Amino acid sequence: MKEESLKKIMQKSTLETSDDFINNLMDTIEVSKQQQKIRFWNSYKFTLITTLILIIPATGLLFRLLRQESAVLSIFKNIPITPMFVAITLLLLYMINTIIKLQETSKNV
Amino acid sequence: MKNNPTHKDYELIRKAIEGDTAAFRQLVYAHKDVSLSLAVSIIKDPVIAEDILQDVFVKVYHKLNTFTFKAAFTTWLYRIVVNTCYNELQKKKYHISINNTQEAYMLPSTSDTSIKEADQKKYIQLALQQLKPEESLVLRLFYLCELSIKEIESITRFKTSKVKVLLHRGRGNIHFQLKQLLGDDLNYLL
Repeated sequence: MKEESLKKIMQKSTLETSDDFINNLMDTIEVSKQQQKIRFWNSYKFTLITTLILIIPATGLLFRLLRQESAVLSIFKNIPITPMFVAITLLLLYMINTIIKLQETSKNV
Repeated sequence: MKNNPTHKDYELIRKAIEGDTAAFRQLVYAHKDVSLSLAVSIIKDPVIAEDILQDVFVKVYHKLNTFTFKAAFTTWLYRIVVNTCYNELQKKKYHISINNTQEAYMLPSTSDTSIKEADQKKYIQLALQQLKPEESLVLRLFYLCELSIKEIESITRFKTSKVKVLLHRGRGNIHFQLKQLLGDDLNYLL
């Protein structure tokens, strides 16, 4: 079979989708967009609640412990403030970066 | 330059990324039929292929912002179509009976002196159904989508030699299948 004839034949091999293909597709996309929003909020909600559950008692405990005089706590009191401040700031920045990354990943899913 | 399909696609993609759903609709409208044809090459069943194509376009919608604008949109789209179809084929292990497709296409008799355009399409579909998925896929990419062997390689991840072999076998097999179906009436198609 000649190339031109084959090309002509193959040009006729296109199939057509059903009439409501695009409408169904757009509906599916809308649903998936909604699901994605809910999915992100759920994961964010989980992170937020878990962080709060961990942070609140930790802060309370720390506050309570710092008011007490003990040999163990005096070690913490001797730690210089500046490196601690830098370390905590870096940790916070890292956490913010993680949350932004999570948000971006969720957008791209 | 503006009328180039690639540039048109780029424009529509940019709009769709900004949230213009009408632009995305246009993009789908322009490529849905050829994409379905490619999906049918692999899946063989047009109904299942259309369902898979829905998933493909949902995926495309969500991944549109990762499109790099370095190659044609069609190359990117067809690669997603081909990958998704092969994945689905592996996952669900479709067992498509080729014998049933003949009934599905309701072939007319070839005794008429000429074969109508719509009937021609049915015979061509049926002939393509009889080919191996890889052969009909490569034939469609080469002749229907008019892609180069390099582009076919990047879509299918087949080696150049494999693409050439599949093209060669596909040409022979489609001719054989059409000859089987139409006999001397094959000349009306050519």
